[in-house]
Amino acid sequence: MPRKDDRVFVKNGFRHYRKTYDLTEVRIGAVLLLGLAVVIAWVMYKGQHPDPSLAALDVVAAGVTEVKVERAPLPLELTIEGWKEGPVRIFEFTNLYEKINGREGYYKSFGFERLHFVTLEKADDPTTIVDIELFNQSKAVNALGAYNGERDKEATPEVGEQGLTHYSRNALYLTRGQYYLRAVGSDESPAVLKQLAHVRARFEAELDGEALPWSYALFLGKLELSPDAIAYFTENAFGFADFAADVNVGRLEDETELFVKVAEDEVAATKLAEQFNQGFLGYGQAKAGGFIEDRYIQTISKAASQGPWAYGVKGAPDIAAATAGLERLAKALSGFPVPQVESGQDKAPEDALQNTKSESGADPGEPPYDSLEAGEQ
Amino acid sequence: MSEKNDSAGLQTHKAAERRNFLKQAGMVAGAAAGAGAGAFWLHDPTGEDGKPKPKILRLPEGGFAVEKPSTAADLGVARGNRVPAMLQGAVDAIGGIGAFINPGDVVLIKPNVAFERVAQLGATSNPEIVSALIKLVRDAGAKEVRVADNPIEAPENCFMRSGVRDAAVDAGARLYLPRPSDFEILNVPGAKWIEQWPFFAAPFRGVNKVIGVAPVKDHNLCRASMTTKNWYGLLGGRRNQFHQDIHGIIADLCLMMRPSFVVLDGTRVMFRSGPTGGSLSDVKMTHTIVASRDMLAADSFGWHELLGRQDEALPDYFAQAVARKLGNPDYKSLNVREVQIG
Repeated sequence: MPRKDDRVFVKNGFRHYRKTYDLTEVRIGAVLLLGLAVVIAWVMYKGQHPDPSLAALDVVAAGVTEVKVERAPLPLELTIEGWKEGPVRIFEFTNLYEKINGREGYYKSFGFERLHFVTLEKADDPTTIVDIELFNQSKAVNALGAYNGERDKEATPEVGEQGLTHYSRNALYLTRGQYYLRAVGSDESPAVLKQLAHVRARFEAELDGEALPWSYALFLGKLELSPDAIAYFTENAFGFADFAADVNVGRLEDETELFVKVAEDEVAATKLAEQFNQGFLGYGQAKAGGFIEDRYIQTISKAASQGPWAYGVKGAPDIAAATAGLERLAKALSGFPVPQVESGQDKAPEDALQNTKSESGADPGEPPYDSLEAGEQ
Repeated sequence: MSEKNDSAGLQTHKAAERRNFLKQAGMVAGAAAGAGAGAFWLHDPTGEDGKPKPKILRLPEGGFAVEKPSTAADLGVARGNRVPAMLQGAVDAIGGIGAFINPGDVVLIKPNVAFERVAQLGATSNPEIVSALIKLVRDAGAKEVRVADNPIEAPENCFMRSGVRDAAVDAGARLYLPRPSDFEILNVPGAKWIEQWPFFAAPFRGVNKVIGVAPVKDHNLCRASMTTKNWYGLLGGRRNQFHQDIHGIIADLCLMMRPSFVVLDGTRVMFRSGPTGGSLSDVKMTHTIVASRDMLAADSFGWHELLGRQDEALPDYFAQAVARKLGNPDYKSLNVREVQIG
C-alpha cells in the first residue's frame, strides 16, 4: 500500500535525501560549469571580434574557396612581370549559370562542357585586370560556332592552322580545337594589351589544338570566303527535319548561301539532295532548271549531288546568281578530299588550308547568323 | 445439488467471460479507431506538413509608388555628360525628388550589379549614377539610404569590380550583400511564376521608397535587359529555371515591384553580346539618363532610342505586362520632357 509521505513527483527539487554527498561530484559539477562559462565567453568574444576574412572584399580572394581544382588545360605562366594570377574556378554544365546566368544557354547550344575561369591582376593596381574565360565546347566546330556568333562584325579573324583569333579593343578571342578563349581586359591600356598578347602566346604554345574542320578548308581555302561567312549546323539546318544535320554553310557577298553535307555514298547523297529540294518546295515553287523560288521572299534555292556530296544554294537573289553559286561550289568540290562520315566534323585534309585567306584578304561583312539562330544548332 | 451449483457457476462464469470479451473488444475497437484517427490526422505523404512553415512576406499594397503631380512628365530624359546634373534634370522632369522622397524616408536603391565586370563594359549600373542618386535622395531628407542586389556571381566581387560598392559607401548609403538568412518567401498575388518565391527581404525591412537603377543591355534570352528585368536581382532560390519562360518572369517582376520611380542608365549601352558582354566594342556611349514612374515606358524608350531597335517589335514581356495593366510602353503617347545638360 502506498504511504502518504511517498513522493510520486519530486516535490522539492533542491532537497536531497542522502545523508552524505560525494565531494568528487561537486568538483565535477564545478568544472562543467566553468567549461560552460568559458564556451559562452568564447562565443561572445568571437561575436565581437569576427574573422576579418569573412568580410574581405578583395577582388581575387573573395568568394573563392581554397579547394584546389584541376588547372589543365589552362597553360602555366599566364602572367607577365608585375601581374599576378588569382585562383582558378571551374564551372560545369550544371552550374554555368552561376557565372553567366542569362547567357549560359548560348554556350550550351554549342556543346558546352566546361568553363575554366581565372583573373589576372596587375600587382600594383588591382583595378587593372584580365579575366580569362576558357570554354570547352567539346568539338572544334562548336568552338568556332560560338566564336563566330560573338565576334565583333568589324573584326576580321586571323586564320591559323588550328583556329581563329582576333582582338576587340580590350579583349582577345581565340579558338583552338574544342576550346574557345575569351580574355577580357578591364580597359585597353598598354598594360592590359601587353598582358593579352602574352596570354595569346601562352595559349597558342600550350593549348592542344587540332586542324580546322574540312569545311574551313573548302570555304576558306578553295572558295576564298571570309572566315566570318562560315557556319555549321549540327542539326535542323534551314529549319528542316533530321536529314539536315551536319550541314556546312558559307555565305557569299550577295547573301547567297552555299551549303554542303557529306553522305555515306553517291546514292545517299542523291537522296539527301532530293530531301533538301523537297524542303525548299515546302515554302516555294518549282522553276525551270530545278530551281525553287521562295514564295515569300522570292529568293532561289536548289540542291544537287556529286559523288558523296550533297550540296546546294539557298537564298540567291535570282536564278543567275544561284546557277553561278552552284557551279562554283561544284567546281570546288571536284577533287576535294572526302572526309570520313561520322557524327560531327572531320579535320581538314592535309595541305587543304594552304590557300587560306589572310586577315587582310576579305571584307568581313556581316556574320553569317546571329547568335540565336546559330544557337539553334 | 452439486450439478445445480456447477450449472449456476458456469452461467456466472459465462456472463463474466462475455462481459470481459465485450469490454476487451470495446477497448480494442477504441484503440483501433484512435490509431486510425491519429494516422489520418498525421498523414503527410509529401513530408511538407512536418516542415517548419516559412514566414510569408507581402509587399505593401500598391507597392512603393507615389502619386504623380499634375505638372510632372511621364518620362524625364536628360542628355549630356555630367551625370549628377543629368540625373537631377531627369528627376526634375518627372516632378523633382521632393515629389518622391519625404524627410525621414528609408529608401532602397536597387542597381544592377549582376556580373563581375568593370562599369565601362556596360554590364552593370553606372556607379556615378548610383552615387548621384544616393546624394539626391539624402539631400531630400531621407533618413537612411540602402543599396542592395543579389548578383549572379560572387556578390563581393561584383560590387567591388563594378565600382558600385565604393560609390554607395562613399555617398553614405548602407550596402546590403545577400546572405541566406536575408531571404524570405514573398507572396505576389496573380504572378505566374513567383506567387510564392524566395525574395531578398532583409534590405526591405522598414523601407518605404524603392528606386531601381538599371543599365540598357542586349540580352541573349529576353533581347533587352532594362529596368523591369533589373528586379530579377531580388529573387533567390534556383531562379535560373525562369529562363524557360523569360518573358513570363519579367512580366511577373513588373507585378512584384511597383517602385517609387526608376532610372534607366543610358550613359552607355551594351548593344550586343548581352547580358555579360566583355568587349568595349559591345558598348556604345549614349550619354542619356531616363527617369520615370512607368517602367514599361522607360524600357520602351530604351529599346527604341538607346538600343536603336526602332524597326523591331518590342520583346514579348512588354505585351504580357501591358495585359496586366502594369504600364504603357507607348512612350510617344505620353508626356516626355527632354533636357540637354551642358
